[in-house]
Order: sequence, then C-alpha cells, then structure tokens
Amino acid sequence: MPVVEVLGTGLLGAPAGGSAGIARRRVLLGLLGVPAGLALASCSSGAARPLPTGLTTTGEARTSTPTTAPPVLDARSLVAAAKTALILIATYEATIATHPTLGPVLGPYALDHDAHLVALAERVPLPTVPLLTSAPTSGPTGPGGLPSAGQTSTAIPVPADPAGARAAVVLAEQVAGAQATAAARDARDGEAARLLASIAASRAVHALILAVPA
Amino acid sequence: MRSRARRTGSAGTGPTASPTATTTLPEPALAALQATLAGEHAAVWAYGTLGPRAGRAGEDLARSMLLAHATSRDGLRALLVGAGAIPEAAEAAYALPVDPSDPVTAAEVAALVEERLAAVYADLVAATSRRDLRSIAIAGVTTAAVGVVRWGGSAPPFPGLPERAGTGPPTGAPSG
Repeated sequence: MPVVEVLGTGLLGAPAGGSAGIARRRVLLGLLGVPAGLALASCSSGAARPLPTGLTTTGEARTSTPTTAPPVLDARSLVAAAKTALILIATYEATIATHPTLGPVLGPYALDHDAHLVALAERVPLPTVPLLTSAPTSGPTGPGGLPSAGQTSTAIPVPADPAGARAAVVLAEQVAGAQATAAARDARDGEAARLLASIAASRAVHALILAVPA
Repeated sequence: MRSRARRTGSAGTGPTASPTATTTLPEPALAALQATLAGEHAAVWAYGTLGPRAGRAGEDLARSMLLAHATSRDGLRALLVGAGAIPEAAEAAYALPVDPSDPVTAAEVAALVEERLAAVYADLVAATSRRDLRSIAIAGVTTAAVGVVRWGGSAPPFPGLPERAGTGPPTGAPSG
C-alpha cells in the first residue's frame, strides 16, 4: 500500500485524478503484486485484477478462455516496457524525494511515463509480478517528511548531489529509450511497434532535455 | 505540406521509368515509405524557405537540419530505387500553415514540420516489419521528436501519435 500510495498520489499524479489515475493505480496494483485487500484498503474502488483491456487482437483472439485474457502479440515486450516505465516513475519519485529542488524540472517528464504506462496497459494485460526489490512493508519513513519515500529510495539509489542525480535520470532515460527502440524494431504487431517507437522517442527527448543544464 | 499521393510500381499505369518496375516491398510499406519521402521533400523545402528568416541562431540550426533532412531524403530515395519502386518526386512548392516571416514564426513552422515528420515516420514503423526499415523509421520518430524540442516546441508524451495528442497530462508546471 505505501508504494502504491506514493506512486499514485505523490508528485506525479494529480490528486484524485481522472480515469488515467485510476487506470494507473490498477496497473500498479498488478505490477507490484500488492495483495488486493491490503492495497485496496485505502482505495475505495477498483478491481484487484490487472487492468482489463478492450484490445482485440486480430491474430490470436480466437484462443479465448473465459478466465484469462487472450494472448497478445508482443506481450512480453509490452510488459517489459511497462515495467521500465514503472521503474522510471520510481526513479523520478526517489530523485525528487531526495532532491526537492529538481521537482519542477523532473515532474512534467515523470507524467509522460505515467501516460506510457496507461497506454501500454491498454494493449496488454499486465501480469502480477513483483517489480521492486524491496517489498512494500509498512512504516511511513523517508527523508523530507514524505511518507514512504525512503522505501522507494531503497529500491532506486539516488546520488547525493543534485547534478549526479539528474545525470542518473538521464542515463535511466537513455537505457529505457534503447530498450523501447529494440522492442519496437522486433515487434510483430505494427501498432505495438508504433507505440513502442513513440515511447522510445519520448524517452530519448527526456534524456536530451535533462542532459542540458537548465 | 502534404503532397499528392502517387501510385508507383503498378504495372501498366503511370509513367513507367523502367519496364520492370516491380517492387520487392509490400504495398503498405511502399506507400508509407513514399509518404515518408514526401515528408522529407517538404521538410527540405520548408527549411530552405524559413532558414533565411529564422534569425542568426535559427539560421544555423535550419541549415544543419536542412542538411540532415536532405540526407534522409536521399537515403529514402535510394531505398525505394533499390526496392524497384519509382521514388516520389518533390513538389515545386508547399503550402505552409504559417508564414515564416520572422524568427518566432520560422521556429513555429520548423517545429510543426518536425512534429508532422514524427507522425509520418511512426506510420512507417507500423507499416513495415522489415527490421532495417523499422530501425530507420524508429530513428526518424526520435530524431523528429528531438527536432521539435530544438525549435522550442514542447515534448509530448507520445511523439508521432497525433491520436494521443490530447490524452497526455498537462505539461504546465503545477503552481505553488
């Protein structure tokens, strides 16, 4: 719950956001593998299952079992891109929590990863797998008075100096962009490739902008 | 900036440069490649037009971008020729949505050119599964998205995907 709370209502998301915020929260629940009862204790609405997708694949939609979603082309790549988006979000969160002065610079770009996560979840059901190395245990701790910020920091190390922290974000964006580029190149479905290419471009732009000192 | 679509490669119709103009590319990839070439034609023309009115810094940037787009244009043309197709020709002139009369409007036009090119390249990504073409197309999306920012445009969450242009989070910094 704490991680979900940090990611869902922290500096990334608008408080009590619209459908995008709700969708992301569900995605996070799925990706982080948070027990439903625990996670939903503070969330009034929302299903415990991963985000349902309205996607109808042309190729493999015929294998349909009522309980599980049909297989999606390039599911592995799309899920990997979603995990990376979530890691990037956590990186931004941890960086801003450690260096609040970077908040105005980094904040808008973190929101882009939020949008990527939602868009990916529209294409593929995200499985329930543990993402961060540290389990979201209880205990609101963290520097700067931000609850649970310390937990994110344990998963994502943040350099002590702001310039180094910013450079680390740049590197993370570059690596993530390269990953999305490779995924787009190898994707079997054209629309999945198009989305991944756009995400790759977005990450590359982030890296470029943040690499230039303001 | 959008040029007329031209059919190429179909036997019997149109101006046949060679009697054996059978392309090795499937039709969707061919059409997307031609559209991308048309976009690069337009970009080269646009930068040539706006460059002299882009101010000192803008003129340098426009010159380097023009060269980059001319290189891309030539590469795409060679790809099409290599695939047995007749490359799309450039138009004599293109209609610009804004008259680039000063550095501000010149930058606006340049950013718009890059934004539209990103979409054209993204369509090319979807239209082909050939890895070399995919790589070119993906690089095109990224390069154009970077170009938008270099001209002072904002970085959208989904470069090249106009259908998602309005779905992103507000880019304005939260007040307070």
